[in-house]
Amino acid sequence: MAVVHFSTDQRQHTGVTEVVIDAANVRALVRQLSELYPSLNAHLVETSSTAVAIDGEIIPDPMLEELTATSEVHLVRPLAGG
Amino acid sequence: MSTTEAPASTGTNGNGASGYRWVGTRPVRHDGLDKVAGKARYAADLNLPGMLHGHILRSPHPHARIVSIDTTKAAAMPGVKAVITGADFPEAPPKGATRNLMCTVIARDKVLYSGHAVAAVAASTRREAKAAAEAIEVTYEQLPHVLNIADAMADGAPVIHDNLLTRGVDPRPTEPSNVAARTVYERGDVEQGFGEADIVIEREFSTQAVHQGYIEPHACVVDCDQEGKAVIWASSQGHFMVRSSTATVLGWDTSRIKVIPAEIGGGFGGKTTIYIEPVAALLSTKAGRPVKIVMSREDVFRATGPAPGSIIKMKVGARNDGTITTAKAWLAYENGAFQGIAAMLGCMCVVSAYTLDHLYVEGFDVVLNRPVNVAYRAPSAPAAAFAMDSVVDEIAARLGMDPIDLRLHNCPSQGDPTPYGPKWPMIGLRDCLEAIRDSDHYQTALPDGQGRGVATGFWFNIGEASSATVNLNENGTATVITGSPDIGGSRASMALMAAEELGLDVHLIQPVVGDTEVVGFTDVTEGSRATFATGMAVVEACRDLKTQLRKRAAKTWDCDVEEVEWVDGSAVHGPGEQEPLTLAAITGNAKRTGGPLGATASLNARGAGPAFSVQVADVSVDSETGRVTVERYTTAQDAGTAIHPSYVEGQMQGGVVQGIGWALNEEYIYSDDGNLENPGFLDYRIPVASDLPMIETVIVEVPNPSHPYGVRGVGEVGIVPPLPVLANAVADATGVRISDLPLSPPRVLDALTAAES
Amino acid sequence: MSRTHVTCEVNGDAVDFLTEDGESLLNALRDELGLIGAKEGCGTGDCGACSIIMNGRLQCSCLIFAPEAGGAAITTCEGLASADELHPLQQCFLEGAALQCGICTPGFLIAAKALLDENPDPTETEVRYALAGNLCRCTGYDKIVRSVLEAAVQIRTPA
Repeated sequence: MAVVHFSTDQRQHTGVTEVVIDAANVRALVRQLSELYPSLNAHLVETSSTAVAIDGEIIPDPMLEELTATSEVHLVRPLAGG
Repeated sequence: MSTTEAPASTGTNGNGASGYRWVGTRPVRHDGLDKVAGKARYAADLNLPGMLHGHILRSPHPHARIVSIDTTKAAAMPGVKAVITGADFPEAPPKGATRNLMCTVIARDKVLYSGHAVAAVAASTRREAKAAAEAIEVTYEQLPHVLNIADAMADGAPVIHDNLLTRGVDPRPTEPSNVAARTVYERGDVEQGFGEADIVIEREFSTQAVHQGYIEPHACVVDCDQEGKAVIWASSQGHFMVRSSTATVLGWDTSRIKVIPAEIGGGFGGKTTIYIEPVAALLSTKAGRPVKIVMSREDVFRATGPAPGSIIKMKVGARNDGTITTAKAWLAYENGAFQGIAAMLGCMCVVSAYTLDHLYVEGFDVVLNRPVNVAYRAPSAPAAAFAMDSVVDEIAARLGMDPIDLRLHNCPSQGDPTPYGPKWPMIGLRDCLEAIRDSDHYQTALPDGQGRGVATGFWFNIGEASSATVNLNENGTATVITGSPDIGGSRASMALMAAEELGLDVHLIQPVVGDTEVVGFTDVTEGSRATFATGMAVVEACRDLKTQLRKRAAKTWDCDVEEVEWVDGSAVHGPGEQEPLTLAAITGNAKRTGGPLGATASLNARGAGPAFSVQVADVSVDSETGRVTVERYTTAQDAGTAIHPSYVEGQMQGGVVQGIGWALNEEYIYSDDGNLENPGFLDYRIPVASDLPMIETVIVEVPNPSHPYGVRGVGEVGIVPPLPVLANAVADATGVRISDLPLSPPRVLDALTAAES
Repeated sequence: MSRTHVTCEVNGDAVDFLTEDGESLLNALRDELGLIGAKEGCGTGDCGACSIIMNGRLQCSCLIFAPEAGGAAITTCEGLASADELHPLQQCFLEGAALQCGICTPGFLIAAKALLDENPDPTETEVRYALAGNLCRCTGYDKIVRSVLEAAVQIRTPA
């Protein structure tokens, strides 16, 4: 179980600001999101939002990251630093 | 000027108060002697037998189609062994990060900025290579160019990439433009927020592109053999990145390439990418000899870096009690010739130091005919902080509030939402604000005629992948091998963490930066991650070793391993029936107890802790010349635990002074025909010793719970506050607020003159 | 191409090398004599990474033609330490953490030596102006200035 929060532009594809998903990892979560919101995936690819923030930490290659019942998830773009 | 008797640092660390024996102490760095004796080997210091010198021909035009390249004359010149052009490299995909990298290394059908690499020569001497490169005949068809954000975004602007369709706009445009992407972050209802505010301030800001300004130009030596293998000696922020990027550009398998890290002469983000290694590799392959390429300073300015310039419009609303309720921001960042994420990062950072009920942040990444952006310490955050913290300062003045009290009143804490969505973990902004408020500097009355400014800065910090191998030697010493280049003392930090874990004297530990074939994959040193993430791998390997050491002692004593503890560098028998065995006693006997002792750890570091800094400066402004003099400067930064406080202070001081340069003097100046007019340190003036006072430091230590020693990462955030700090201080000194950087003498003088009339 | 034979004294040793007429002394030191301590940060005399002391004067070796060194006495960073002991400046730079990446360090040590040879008891301001021709991008100069002042004390009052 995880709470996924959507940004303003993602909301255009989901119609909601957040959704609760029962998924053990990010891959399963993304699969379910794609089924719920068919146009979301293309939007994420389009905006390079290939990273995920889980409980505040941005993870660049997140597909196999495990989720817990209280995970707060945001779909974001990966960072770079100096 | 502050007195030299002042302590180098105050704060909570540096005196062993933490309960650690080694972490928090200040040993001489292990690589220090080589560096003060002139023995340390940077990439340009290597010469191989039979080595050739490479020289790269660069475009004199900011935007042009390459009609033809004739290398006949060049190839026939004395000493020339190889000549290559873009046609010798694999074809680049039509778009994306791979194309951007490939086309930055060498231009294909078009040159996109003055200084863009076009062709290269390898010859027996530097001069022969240069002469031959200049003899290459390139026919260009010049195209109209754009050099700044306003021109690039204007209707009818010359379009740089005919397949660039703006992302983040719904529906997606069908016509190409120079706007690569639009980013939006939104919360609440800003119009409602402004309606509820007692004061609303709206301002427009601009900053100029600046260079990272590392003193060592990019350099490499590449030796390719007849079996297709390449050895690269290079100066970079990550040799595994050099390997993968070189392989990508050449279309090679990474296993053909071994990269040996040279010492790195400064990076600050600018060496998180490559420019010359694939060129040298191809020249070496063609010539069958090692090839060295060393960039000139002019080439460094024209073709590497920079950090982007920006235009930011801020509108902020607050109530009379000092509560900042609402912010609306419009940000546009230069991306250079290829699209990047500068504006996205700016959007994420711009209001991070404040809790807001209502925000609308919109950013635009804009391509133009300049070199492509590269990271520079906390990329995009300085310009964003300049805009927000300038406006916040004006709000404090209007409300008659102390600027630190105002910021404390609006300060986010753990669990509050970040502007970009997720909640804040444990952060130290409040601690930094209080540290500056309580500092000797802030508590000292401002001298007559001076102005004082304060501001905040935020940066994410990043985790990523790191590896470490720790070997225990038969005499009881340890070798710590990591894959992170040592830019500013990280070897010493790795050794300190290993010393703490193993209970071994730090001087008995030899920290080594291993090449791509002796240590596991390690990401580039960026995002202030080396001591955090690579340090985590070192600690994990050491903990593995401690388990092994306890097992060896148990074997020696013929007891259960659970009866053995590791205490201060020795195995101790819990029941007390045996004399403790030191680490040296165990390693000396290792062959008889199961063989040599070593451990490796590789990990994705999780839990990088966000960093904040708060700074204060006193300045004087010469009303006749417009020159701004920094009279006193203090910086407080949340470092998490300071592993080696001297190098933490060094990161803080260095970041501040780079920020001072950005605020007061540094800027790229382009001529109308698209050429950089100040590609040297004489005209691109970075701060020198006589420009500055001592930089007083307060290390704030809010330990990062995700790291075994609480490390947060210190490399970047220090550069963020100086831009607004100095703008606020100049406003305080003169009564004139300047919203365009740099605050160089002509600009300040113009502003003072305009205010008088 | 014709090459010039140059004879001079470097760090107390009599040396000679062949050089092309337009070559810089910096390149000759590095490529012909293998003294890599002096670095090229700019090649135009703006950064001081190539600092040497030639005939008692602080110079940017990138601005001197190699043949001009004929008969000169030159000190580079490699000549500061004795066989068994670092120069106090080197020791103070190490203990004061006055270097981060280290590329500018040889130049700073030479410039600081030139200062202390002339003025053994400089003020902070004098140190800052004496080092204003040397660029450091890592440290913000704080720890460099402190280390030079500390070395001056140690040189004036040997233990």
